[in-house]
Amino acid sequence: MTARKSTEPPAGSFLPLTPAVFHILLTLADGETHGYAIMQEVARRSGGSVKLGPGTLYGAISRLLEDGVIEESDERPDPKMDDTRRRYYRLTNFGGRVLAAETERLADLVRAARSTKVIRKLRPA
Amino acid sequence: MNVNLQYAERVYSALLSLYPVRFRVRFAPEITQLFRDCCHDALEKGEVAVLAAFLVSALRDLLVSILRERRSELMGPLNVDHPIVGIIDLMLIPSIVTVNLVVLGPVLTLLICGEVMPVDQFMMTSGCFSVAIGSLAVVTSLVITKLRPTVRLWVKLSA
Repeated sequence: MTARKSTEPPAGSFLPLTPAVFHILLTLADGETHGYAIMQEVARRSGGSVKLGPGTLYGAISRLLEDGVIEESDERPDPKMDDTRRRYYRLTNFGGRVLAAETERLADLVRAARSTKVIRKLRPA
Repeated sequence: MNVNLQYAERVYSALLSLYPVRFRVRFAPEITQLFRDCCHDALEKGEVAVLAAFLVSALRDLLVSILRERRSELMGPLNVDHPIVGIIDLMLIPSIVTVNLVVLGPVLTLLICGEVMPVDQFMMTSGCFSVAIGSLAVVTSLVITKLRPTVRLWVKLSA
């Protein structure tokens, strides 16, 4: 991972993330990977509730690259096993902070929701 | 490769040309590769229905994505430091006033009144139209001025 220049905006300015972007970042947090693997992992991780089409996936990747949240990787985990035409992406340090900030925000939301009487009543025993 | 799949890929690749150029040059090969992989996945499941469902969803996704990229290209940050933007900025109001007085007012008078009238009456009517158009221009420029700090902030944040 590489550090961005010091003028980068605070991680909080990117929040809230859309579910698709959040899942993409979660997938990349596990290691660098390519578009096809991201698409499959997002579908698996979300239990099929988030399905990314090719256009949506690369639209999101384009914006994340522009914002410095992710970057393209020149390395190949195993060049013999993989198609060299694929491009790999990975999380930047800044992207890691954005992901952590969003996770914290979601955790706060869940905490706030769970503290309400209605949700406490609805929770399974 | 399945002939129908080849045909689908060709149509899909042709539709990619609707993306903005910068996006297309950068991502079209990867999007096509991903589309191909997904088609093969669907075919491996052995059901035509699975493939058909994927093709429909991919097409819908593509069209939505094209609209999104086109919109972000149109609404994208302006390069306010470019000299041409400065020149347009400087010339905008004088140009509007000149065109308004010399062209728009008289043309509107001719179009709306549509008949020959004495010179003084023509000048008066033309002047009224010019004032009306000018007021509209002032309101428009005020709106632009109000929006400019937002655009500058936008440019700064995305730089």
